[in-house]
Amino acid sequence: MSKVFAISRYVLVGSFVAMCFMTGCTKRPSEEQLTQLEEARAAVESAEKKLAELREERMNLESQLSQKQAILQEHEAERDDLREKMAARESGGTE
Amino acid sequence: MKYIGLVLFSVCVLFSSVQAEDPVWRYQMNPEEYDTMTLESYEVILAATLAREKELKEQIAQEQAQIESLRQQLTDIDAQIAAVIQEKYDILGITEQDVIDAENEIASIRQELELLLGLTPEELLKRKADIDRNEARINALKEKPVSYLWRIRDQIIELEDLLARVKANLPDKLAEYTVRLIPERRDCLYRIAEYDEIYGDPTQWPQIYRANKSLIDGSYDRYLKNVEEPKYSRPQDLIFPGQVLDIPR
Repeated sequence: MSKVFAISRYVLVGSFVAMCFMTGCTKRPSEEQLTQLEEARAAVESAEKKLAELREERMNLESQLSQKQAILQEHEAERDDLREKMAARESGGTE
Repeated sequence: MKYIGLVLFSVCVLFSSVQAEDPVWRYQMNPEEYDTMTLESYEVILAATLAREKELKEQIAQEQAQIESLRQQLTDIDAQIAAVIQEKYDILGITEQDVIDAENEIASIRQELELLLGLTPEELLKRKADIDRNEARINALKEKPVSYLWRIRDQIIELEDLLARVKANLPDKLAEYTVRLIPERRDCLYRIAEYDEIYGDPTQWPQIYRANKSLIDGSYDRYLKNVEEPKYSRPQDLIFPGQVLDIPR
């Protein structure tokens, strides 16, 4: 019986010691580290916002470019038409 | 027993010291996240956040480069458009001022025609000279080289449509008639009503008399005073050349 008590005593002590070490070794980030993480997160948020703005600006510019290309094509078509008409007029006058 | 007590005491001391080292909560993070964040998970999250920041910066740089390129392309295409426009002017032998003048002329004609469009047919008939004048302006525009430009040509077509609508509002009958001196066939109210441009129906002559009663009666009264043996017994039987009669519609 005394052996049983002795064994169980050691088991108990051993458990408490082990618990002590387990809970005492779980490390958490320090205050400075949490600050660093927070700053990194803020930088990401700011960068995402800037990226969205730049994408919108790019899309607007692409739309403008597309419109101007259509305008240029129309002007070129008109120029070619005028050349033909003036040429026909001149050839009709010389005849 | 004393060993157990000693161990328990040690455990209590250790736990209390760990609790004292917890930092004060002042971050805007999820409290639960803070409570469960270990150093290991912190390092993982920080690494991922920094990697994301780096990726975003690269994408930002790419977008900025594309934007710069697009701005340059826009500048180039503006220059191309200006060059082609000048080519057109050179082909026609015109300047930008010629185009501006033509557009101002078009705006002026449009304004006058829209004004005429709002008039009644009788009023329009009295403004026939304005209609003719604007028609002449349109024809003069069409003779100019600038009228070959598509923009100007389309506007001239609109003006011609507007002019056609104005002319369509003109009455096909006269609103006034000046009594003529026709020896072979004297003008009288009966014959005037018969003319196609008046009523085309001689029986409508009383309308002309009623519309001009004061004029015709006044002339007849003077006739009676000046003639000893009047030939005409009724005022409506006597009208004089040069008299301007209103023709009611």
